[in-house]
Amino acid sequence: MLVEQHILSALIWLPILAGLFMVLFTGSSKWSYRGISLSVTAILIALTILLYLNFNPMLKGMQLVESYPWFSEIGLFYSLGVDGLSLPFIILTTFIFALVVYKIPHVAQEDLNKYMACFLIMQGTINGAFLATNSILFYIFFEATMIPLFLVIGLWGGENRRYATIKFILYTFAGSLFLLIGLLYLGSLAKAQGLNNSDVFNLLNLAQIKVPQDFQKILFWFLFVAFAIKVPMLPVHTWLPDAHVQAPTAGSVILAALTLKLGGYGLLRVVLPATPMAAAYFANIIIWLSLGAIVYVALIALVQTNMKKLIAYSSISHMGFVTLGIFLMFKLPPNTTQALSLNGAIMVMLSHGLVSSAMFFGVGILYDKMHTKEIKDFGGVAATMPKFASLMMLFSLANCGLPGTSGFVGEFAVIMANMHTLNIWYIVLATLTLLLGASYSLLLYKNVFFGPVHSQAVAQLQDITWQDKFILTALALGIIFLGIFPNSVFKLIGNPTATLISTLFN
Amino acid sequence: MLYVLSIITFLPLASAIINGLYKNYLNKTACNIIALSAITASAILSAYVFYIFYIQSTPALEVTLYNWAMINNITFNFGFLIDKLSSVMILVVTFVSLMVHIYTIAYMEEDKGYIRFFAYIALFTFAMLFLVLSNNLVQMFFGWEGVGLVSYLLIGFWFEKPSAVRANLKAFLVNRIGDCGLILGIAGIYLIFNTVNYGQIFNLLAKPLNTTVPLWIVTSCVFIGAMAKSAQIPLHIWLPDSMEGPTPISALIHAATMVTAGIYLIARLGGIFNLTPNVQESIMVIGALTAFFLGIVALFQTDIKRVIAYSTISQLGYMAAALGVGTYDGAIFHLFTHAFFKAALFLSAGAIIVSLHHEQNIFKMGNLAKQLPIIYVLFLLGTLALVGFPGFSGFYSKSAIIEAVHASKFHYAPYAHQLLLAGVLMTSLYSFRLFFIVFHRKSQTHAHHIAKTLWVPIAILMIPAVFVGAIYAGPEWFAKLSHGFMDTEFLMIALGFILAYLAYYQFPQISEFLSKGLKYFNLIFIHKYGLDLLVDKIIIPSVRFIGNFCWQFVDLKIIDKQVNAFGLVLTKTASALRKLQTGLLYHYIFVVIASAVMVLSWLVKDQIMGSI
Repeated sequence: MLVEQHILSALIWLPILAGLFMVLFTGSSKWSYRGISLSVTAILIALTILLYLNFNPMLKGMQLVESYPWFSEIGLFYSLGVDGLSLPFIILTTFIFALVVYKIPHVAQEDLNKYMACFLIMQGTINGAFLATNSILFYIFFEATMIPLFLVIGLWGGENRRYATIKFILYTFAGSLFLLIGLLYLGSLAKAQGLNNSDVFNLLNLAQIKVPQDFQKILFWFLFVAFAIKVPMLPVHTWLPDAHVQAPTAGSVILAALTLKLGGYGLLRVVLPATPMAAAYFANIIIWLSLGAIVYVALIALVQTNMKKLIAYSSISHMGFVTLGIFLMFKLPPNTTQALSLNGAIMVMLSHGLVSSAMFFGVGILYDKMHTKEIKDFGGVAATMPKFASLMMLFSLANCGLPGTSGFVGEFAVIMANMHTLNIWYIVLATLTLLLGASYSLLLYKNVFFGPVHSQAVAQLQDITWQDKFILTALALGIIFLGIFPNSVFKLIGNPTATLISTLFN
Repeated sequence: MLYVLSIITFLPLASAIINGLYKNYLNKTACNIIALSAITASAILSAYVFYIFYIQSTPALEVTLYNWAMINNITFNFGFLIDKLSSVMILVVTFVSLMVHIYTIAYMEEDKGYIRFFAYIALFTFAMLFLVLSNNLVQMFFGWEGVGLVSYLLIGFWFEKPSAVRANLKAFLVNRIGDCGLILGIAGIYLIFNTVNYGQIFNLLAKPLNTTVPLWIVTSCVFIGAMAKSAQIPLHIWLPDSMEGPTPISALIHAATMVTAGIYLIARLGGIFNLTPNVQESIMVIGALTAFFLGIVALFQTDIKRVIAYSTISQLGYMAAALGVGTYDGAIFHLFTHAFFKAALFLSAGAIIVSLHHEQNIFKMGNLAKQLPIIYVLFLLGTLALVGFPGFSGFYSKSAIIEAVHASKFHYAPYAHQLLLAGVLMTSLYSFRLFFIVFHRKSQTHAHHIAKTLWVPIAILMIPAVFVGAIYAGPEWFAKLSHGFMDTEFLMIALGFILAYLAYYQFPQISEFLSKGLKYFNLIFIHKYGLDLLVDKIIIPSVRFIGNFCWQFVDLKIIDKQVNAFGLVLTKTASALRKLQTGLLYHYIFVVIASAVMVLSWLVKDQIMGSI
C-alpha cells in the first residue's frame, strides 16, 4: 500500500509542508489556522499508530525503509528507516506535539499562523532527525530543528530573549560544526576503505568504518561535543536555563521533551558505533561529568528562585543519568548488566520527555494566570487550584523518581547496573539523586502549592480549564503507564540495544 | 489464591481511586460505603488467608502477577508471596485499617477534606499490602515508596498549615536518605544473588556464596533503609513531626503499620542478615539505644501525640533489638501486639483531642477520668499493654525480646540488655506520667461527649491489645504470667508507676522543682539531643550555600563569562565584516550556515572532483 510504504516520509514532510503553507497564506481567521494544525496533528497521530502497527519488534535492523538517491555520487541518499530505538521517540514526538498544538497559546494572538507553523515545521524536522539513516541527512534535520526553535524563542520569548537565543545559537552551532566535520571525515574514510556509495554516509554502517585508534580519540570529541551540548552535559549546559526561562511554554516543552533527546539519541546512533574504542577510553571522564550533573546541578536546582530555571536545572540533572547510563556500559564487567544500563538510560530519556513537559506545561499555566515565574510570588495554590495541584503533585513525584511512575524505571535500572562497577564513588554519587531529586522537586511543590494562601492574586486563581486538564491528564496517564508497564518500551528497544551492545563489546 | 490475594490488595486501591477521582461528585455516605465495604472485604479475606497460612501452617505459596520488566535476559516479575510472616502482616494491616476507617467517620466529620482523607487511607492500605505481600525486592520497593508517599500526603493533609508542610517534607526527605541505602541494598543483593526474588534468594542462601562485595555492606545498606522507615537513631527525627497529620493516620501509619515496614523487611531478609553477625550486633545496639534514649525524650514532651510518638520510636527500638539478636519471631510478635495497643492508644488520644476542641497540650488537660470514663478505661488498658504489665499482650512480646537479648552471645548484648530494662522503666514512667496528667490532674477542663463510632473501634482494637499476647504465647501463657510478677521488668514497671504517681499526681511540686532545677539538663531532652538543630542550623544552610556557590560562582562567573566573551568577539567580527540591518538572530544563522557550507565544500571537494 502506498501509505504504508511512505509513512516515514509523511511523518516528516506533512507537518513541514503544512507549516510552510500556513506561513504563506496569511490573513485567514485564527480558527482556520487552528483547524489546519489540529487536523494535521490528527493525521500524524493516525500515521504514528499505523507505524506502530506495521512495526515488528522481533526483527532486527531498520524497517519501513525508504531510500532514494540524492547526490548519490558523493554518498548522499535520502534514506529513512525506523527501528526499536527511534520508534519510541517518534511516538513521544507525536504525543507531545499533539498536546502542544492542542493548547491555545497565550503569547501568539496576532500571528498564530507563524507560531503554529514553527511548531509544525519543528515536528517534521525532529521526526526527520529520528528517522534519517543517512548521516548527512541526519545532520541536516538535526540542525534544522534548531531554526524554528530559535524563532519561537526569539519571536514569542520573554524580555531577555535576545541574550538567550544568542547563547543558544553560539553553543549549538559551535558543536554542530565539529559534528559536520566529523561526519564528513567518516564519510571520506569510508570511501577510502572502498565502501559502496550507498554506504558511505550510512548511519547504520558507522561501526564498519575502521578508524585508526589515535584518530578515534580526536574524532570522538568532534562527534561528541555537538550531542553533549544538546543533552546538555556539564560544563556546556548553561544555555539551557536561559533558553527555558525566555522560551514560551510550548517552546520549553519541546526543548525539554524532544530536543534534548536528540542529544542522547545522537550519542547512541553516531558516537558509540563510530568511535567505540575512544568512547571506552574516555568513559571515565564522561561518567564523572554525568555524576557532576547529577549532584552539582541538582544542588544548583535546589537554590533557584525561578520555577522555570529550577525545572531546567532539574532537566540537566536528569539527563546526567542518560549519559551516565550510556557510558557506564564501558565500566561494567563484560557480559553483565550493560543492557540494564543502556535500557535504563533510554527509559530516563522517555520518562523525562513526559515529566519535564508536564512540569513546563504546569509552570506555563501558572505564568499565564499570574505573569510571574518567581517562586516567592506563590504559596497556597493547592487551596485555590486543587485539581491542578493534584496533577502537579504526581509530576513532582515522577520527577523525583517515585516507583509507579516512569521516573523510577530508568533511574532504577541504571542504579542497579551501576552497582556492578564496584566503584564506590559512582555508586554513592549516582544514588544521591534519590535524595537531591526529591529535595528540589518537593521543595518547589511545597513553596508553590502548600502553605497559607500567599496573596490576593493567588486567592483569586481559578482552577485549570478542561483543556489544560486534558493535556495534563494525558501526560499523567503516560507517566503512570510507563511506570507500571515499562515492558512496553523495553520490548521495542530490546533488539537495537542488544545489537549496539554486541557491536561495542563483541 | 492469586485471586484472593489480588482482591485483598487491589480492593483498597479501587476504593482509593474512586474516592480520589470522584471526590467532587460523591457525598459522605457514598464515600463511606465504598471505603468501608472495600476494606471490610479485604480484612475478612485477610483473616481467611491468615487462618490458612498461619493457623493451619500451609506451606508458603508464591504466585506471579505479571512481568514488570524484561531487559535482555534480566527479568523482573511481580507477584505475591504468602507465608506465615506476610499473613500476620496483612491481618494487622487490614484489621487496624478497618478500625481506623470506622473511627475516621466521626473524627473527620467536620473536615472539608473528608473524602480525600478516605482516598488516602485506602491508598495507604493498598501500598502497605503491596509491600508485605510482594515476592521480590523491587515490588517491595514500590510499596515502600507508596506508603512513604501517602504518609507524606497525610502529614501535610492540612496543607495550609506551615508546620504541617514542613513536617511532611522533612519526613519524605529523611525517608529518602533511607531509600538511598535501601536501593543500594537491593542493587547489592541483585549483584550477589543475580535475582531480587525472595524465594530464589533463600534457595541460594543454602549454598556457599560467591560474593563480589562483602555481604555486610549489603545488609548495612538495607538496614539504613529500615532505620529511616522504622525511625531508629539518628533517622528518627521525622516521626515526632509527623504528628502534624490527623490522628487516625498517626495510629494507622505512624504507629501500627508503616513504621514497622523496616522491621518487616529485615525479618523477611533474616536469612541474609544471619550471615552478617557484625551488622546484626549494630542493629541490636542501635535498637537498644533507640529504645532507651527516645523513651527519655517522651518524658519531656507536652503534646499528647508526641509523647505517644516517642513511645512508638522507643518500642520500635525493642523490635530492632530483637532483629539484631536474630529472633525475628520475637520482633514480629512485638510488632503484632504493638500495632493493636499503640493504635488503640493513639485513637484514644484522638478522642480526647476531639472532646477538648483539638487541644493537644497535656497541661491543658486533666481531670478527665470522670468526664470520659470509657476513654479512661480504654486508655488504662492500652497503657498497661504498652508498659508490659503481666498478662497483657505487651508483656509477652516485650519479655520475649528482653530474654532473647539476654541470651545473646554478642559482646555488647549485656549492655543492650541493661538499656532495654532501663527502657521498661522509662516506658512505665512516661506512660503513667501521661496517664496521671491527662486523667487525674486537677484542672477546669470541660470535655465534650464523644461519639460512639469513636470509642467502639478503640474498644475492638483493645481486645487483641489485651489478649493476643497470651494466645500467641500458647499453652505456657499462665506459667509465663505467674513468672512475670517476679521479673526485673515488673520491678521496673512498678518503680516507674510509683515515681510517676509521686511526681505527677501526689506531689506535683517534685516535677516542677525538677524541671526548674535541672533546666539546662532538661533542654537536652526537650531539644531531642539537638539533632533537629543540627539539621536546621548547619546541614540545610550549608547545602544551600554550596548550591548558591555552584550557581553564582561556577556557572555564572566562570562558564558563562567565557561564553559571553566568545559571543562578544563573534558579534564584533560579524558586524565589522558586514553592516547588515537584519536582527542578530538571522545574522548568526547566516554566518554559521555559510561557514558550514564552506567547510563542507572544502572537505568533499576531492570526492566531487573524483566523481567528475
